[in-house]
Amino acid sequence: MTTIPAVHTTTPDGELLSPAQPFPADAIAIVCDGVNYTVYQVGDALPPSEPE
Amino acid sequence: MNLGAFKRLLSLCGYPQTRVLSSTWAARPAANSVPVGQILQITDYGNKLFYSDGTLWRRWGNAPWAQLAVAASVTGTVTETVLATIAIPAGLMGVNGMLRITPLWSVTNNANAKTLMVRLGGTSISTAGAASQATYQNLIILRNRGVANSQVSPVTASTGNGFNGSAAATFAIDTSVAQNLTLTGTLGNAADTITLEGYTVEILNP
Repeated sequence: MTTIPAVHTTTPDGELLSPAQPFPADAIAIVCDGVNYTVYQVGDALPPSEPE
Repeated sequence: MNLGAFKRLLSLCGYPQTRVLSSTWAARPAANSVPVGQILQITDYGNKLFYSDGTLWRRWGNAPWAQLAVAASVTGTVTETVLATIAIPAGLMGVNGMLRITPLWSVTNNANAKTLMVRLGGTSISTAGAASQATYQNLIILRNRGVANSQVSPVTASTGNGFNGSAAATFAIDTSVAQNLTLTGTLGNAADTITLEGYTVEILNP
């Protein structure tokens, strides 16, 4: 599991959050909480999915 | 040994050899400066293979430009959030080329607003609201109109294909320069979740 900071940029349409670097190729799931992107990688347990 | 047998012997020895060129997309040789059929490996876009048709470099095979089914989610913020970025090389979408994007989304199924957006070079080419829904797969088709910086597509808020009461949407995105395609989600309520479950991106040239 690795953490990538979420970067705030301003666009003509408003504010945009984007990862500070590309996601690793071995990612199996990614979750952004508004501050960071948490990248789950091969070998990590998947994050719990949201109940329907 | 006759000529046919000699050619078979050469082929078993790996001749004639076809040399695969290797280069970045920006530094690639002109397609008309190499023999027709020359293969080119593009090192800065995942070592994808192209071949020369004598005029243009064309993708080898019919694989999508990008495809992934790794779930990318946003929760905890109402700021528009990038969930995937796909680099589109300069000029790969030809003047009569087409970009076809098929994302699959999941969202918290409640009445709160959620916006699912696709941008090319920062310009929104598709916007979909997803309140009171659980999943959504749309098909976004953007066509160059004989030049690299003029496009047409169904209205950006379209849910996909079929009839629409609104005029087609037009854009002036310069595809002769490298552009990023981004898939983003915007929550109306930070307690909800938008998940980009996967996507396919294809670049089709005639």
